[in-house]
Amino acid sequence: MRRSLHAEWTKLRTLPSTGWLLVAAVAGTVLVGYAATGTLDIEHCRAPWCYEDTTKLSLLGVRLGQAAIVILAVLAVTPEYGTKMIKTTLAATPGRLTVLASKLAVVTGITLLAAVLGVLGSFLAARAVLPGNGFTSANGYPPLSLSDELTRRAAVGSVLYLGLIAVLGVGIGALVRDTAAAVTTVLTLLFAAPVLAMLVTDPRWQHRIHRFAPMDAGLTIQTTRDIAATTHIGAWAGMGVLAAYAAAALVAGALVFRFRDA
Amino acid sequence: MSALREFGRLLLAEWTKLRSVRRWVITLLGAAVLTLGLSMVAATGGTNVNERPNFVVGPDGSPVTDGMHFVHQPMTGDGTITVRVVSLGEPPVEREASGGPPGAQKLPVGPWGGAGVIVKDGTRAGSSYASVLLTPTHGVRMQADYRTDLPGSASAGTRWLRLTRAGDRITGYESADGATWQQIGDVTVPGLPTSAEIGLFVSAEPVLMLSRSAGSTSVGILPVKAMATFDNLTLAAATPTGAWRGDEVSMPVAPGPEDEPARDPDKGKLPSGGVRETGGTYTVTGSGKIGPEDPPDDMVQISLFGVLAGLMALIAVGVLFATSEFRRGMIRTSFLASPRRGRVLGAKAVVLGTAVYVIGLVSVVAAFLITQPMLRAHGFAPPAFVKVSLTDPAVIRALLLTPAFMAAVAVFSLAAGMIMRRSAAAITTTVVLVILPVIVGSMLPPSAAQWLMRVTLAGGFATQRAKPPNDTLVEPWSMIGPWAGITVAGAYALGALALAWWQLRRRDA
Repeated sequence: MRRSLHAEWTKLRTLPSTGWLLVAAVAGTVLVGYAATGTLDIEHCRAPWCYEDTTKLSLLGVRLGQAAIVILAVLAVTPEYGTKMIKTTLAATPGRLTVLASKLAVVTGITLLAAVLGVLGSFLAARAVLPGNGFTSANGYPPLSLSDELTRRAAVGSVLYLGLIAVLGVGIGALVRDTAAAVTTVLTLLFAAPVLAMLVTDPRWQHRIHRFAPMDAGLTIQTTRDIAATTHIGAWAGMGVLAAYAAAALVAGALVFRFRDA
Repeated sequence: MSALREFGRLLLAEWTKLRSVRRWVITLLGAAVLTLGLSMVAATGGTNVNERPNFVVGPDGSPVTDGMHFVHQPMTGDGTITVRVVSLGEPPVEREASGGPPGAQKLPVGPWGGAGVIVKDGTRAGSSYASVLLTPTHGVRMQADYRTDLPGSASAGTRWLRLTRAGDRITGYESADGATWQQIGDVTVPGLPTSAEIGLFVSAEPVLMLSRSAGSTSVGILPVKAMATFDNLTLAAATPTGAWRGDEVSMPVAPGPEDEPARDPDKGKLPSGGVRETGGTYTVTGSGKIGPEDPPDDMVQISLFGVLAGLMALIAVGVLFATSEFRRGMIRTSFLASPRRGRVLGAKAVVLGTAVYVIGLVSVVAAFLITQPMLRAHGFAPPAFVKVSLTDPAVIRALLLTPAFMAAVAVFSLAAGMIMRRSAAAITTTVVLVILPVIVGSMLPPSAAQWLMRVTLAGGFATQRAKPPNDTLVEPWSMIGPWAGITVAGAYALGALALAWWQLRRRDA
C-alpha cells in the first residue's frame, strides 16, 4: 500500500496540470468570495429587515473552486486509460482496490489541503473587504471568526465538501473511464440541479431538488443565518446526501475497476 | 483549386469526421432528447395564479390590478367633470411608516398611478373605467380599461383636467389655466353602463423592493400612498348632482404567504385612503395601481427549460470535436491535407455550428409544441397567461435565437478545446462559464447580476424569453433582453475562435 501510495503521489505530483488545478481551486475560491463580499453594501441590506449571511457569501467561491477539484480527481483516473498506462500500473500493483485506494487517498489529501487554503483565504479576503462596505460590529456584523460556532461549522463543512467532491470525481472517473464523459457527468450532477431548482415552478419539486441535489444539499452547511427559512435540509444531513452520492459513485467505480478488464 | 472549392471539401471532410464517430452522434441526439425530455418534465409543474383570491381580471378578461381612493357620485347618461389638481405628492406623515427596508433597491414605477378624474362602473376592483390623470413622473395621461394609456403633456405641476362622456365615448382634456383646453384623447369604453360612478381619484403604484438576505434575493411589493389636493371641482350632468362620497377601491387580500414577501413587516396591510373637504378644496389620499398586471413568468422560457441540460451534452461534443484530433495526432493529418490552419478551424466551426443549430431548432420547436398544451393543462392558462402561438413574433424570435445560442456555446467549446487541447479543462471552463454565473447571479444584487449576465456566456439564456426583460424573476438572465443575450454569446464564440486561430498559427500541432 505504501509503495502504491508513493507511486500515485509521484504520478500526480509530476503532472503539470496538478499544480495549476490546485492554484485554480484556491484562487477561484478566494476570488469569487472576494468579489461576492465586495459587491455588498450595508445600505442595501440593513437590519432588521435584512440580514446578510456574510459567512455564506464569503464562501461562495467554493462553487467555482470545486470545478478544478473535479478535473483534478477525474484526471487522477481517466488519462491512464487514454494512454494505456493503466496496464503498467496494474501490472506493477495487481491489487486493484489498492491502486484505487491509493489514488483516492492522494487526491483527497491534496484536495483537503487546497480546500483549507481556499476557505481560510476566503475568510481573510472577506475580513479585509467587509468592514469597508459597512459590515462592522456596530452594524451587527462582527468580523468573521472561526471562534463562532456556525462559522466554524461552515468552514469545516466547506473543506469536507471539497473532499467529498474529490471522492465523487475519482468514483465517476473509475466508473466511466473517459475524461470528457466523467467531467461532464460530474459537472452536470453538481451544477445543473441548482439551476433546475431555480426554474421549476412547482415549489414541492424545488424543495425536493434542494434537498437531494449533491451541491445544494452539501453546501447547506455554509448557511449561518436564517437557517430555518432558507435551508431545505439540515447541515449535516445535507453533507450526508453528498456523502451518499460520493460513496455510491466510489462503490460503483470500485466494482467496475475491480471486475472489468482494464 | 479555387479557395471556395477547397473550403467546400474541408467542410465535407469535417462533416464526415463529425458524423462518423458514433459516440458523438449519439451525444448530439442525446442533447435533443435531454432538451425535449427535461422541458416536458418541467411542464408538469403548474401554477395556481388563476385561482388565487387576489387575482382580478379587467373588462377584456386579462389580469389587472385596481386600487384607488375614489370620491364619487352616480351619473346617468352624459356629462363632464372638470377639476384642478393643485398638487400631488406623498402624504407627509406616512413617509416613515411606508419607507420599507431603508436602502433596499426600489425599482422604477410606471405610469399607472396618480391623481385625476375618472368615470367607472361602480367601485368594484376590475370594473370598466376611463380616466384622465396627473402622474408623478409620467406627465398627464388618459387611460381606460387597464390597457389603454394615451400620453398627454409632460407637465408635473398644477394642471386642470377634464373628462367628458358622450354615450360610450369618453374624451379627455387638460389645461394649464382652465381656459384653453387641449384634447388628450378620445376612447370608446363599451363596458361602461349608462349609470356609472364619476369623480376624483388618487392612486399610487406600489414600489417593488428588491432586498437580499442570506445570499438570496427577495422581491417585495411595498404599498405607497399618494396625497393630492383638488379644487374648482365641477360636474355638469343631466342628472341632479348629489353629494360626493369617498370609497376605497382595492384588490382582494390574499391570505397565503405565497403572494406577499416573506419579510415584509406590514404584510397584507394595505394603506387605506381618505378624503377631506374644506371650502371646495379636496385633499385625497389613496394608494394602488390601476393597470395591467400580467404575471412575470414566461411560458416560452418554461417550454425551453431543457436547453440547459442539452447544452451539457453539446459542450462535450464541441470540445471533443477539437481535442480528439490532438489526442489521436489526427490534427497533423488534417493540417497536412489542408495546410491553411485557419480554414480547418473555420470548417470545423461551420460544420459544428450548423449541425447544432439544426438539432437545436428541431428540439426547441418540438419542445414548444409538446409542452405548451401541457402547461395550459397545469394552470398556465388564460386569463393570466394568454395562449402563445408558434406564429407570434416573440415566439419565433425565441425559437430561432435559442438554437443560435446553443450553436454559439458549441462553437465556443470547440474553440476552447482547440486552445486548451485538453478535454477536461475545456469542458469545465465552458460549463462553468455557462452555468456558474446563473447560480452566483441569483445570489447577487440585481445590478451585479445583470452585469454578470452581460459579460458571461450565461447571458445567452435570455434568448429563451418572449416577454420583455424583468427584474423580479429569480433567473438572472431575465434582466437582459434576448438580443443582448445572443450578442454576448456570439461575442464569446467569435472571440474564442479568433484566439484559437491565432494560437493555431503560432503553435506546433
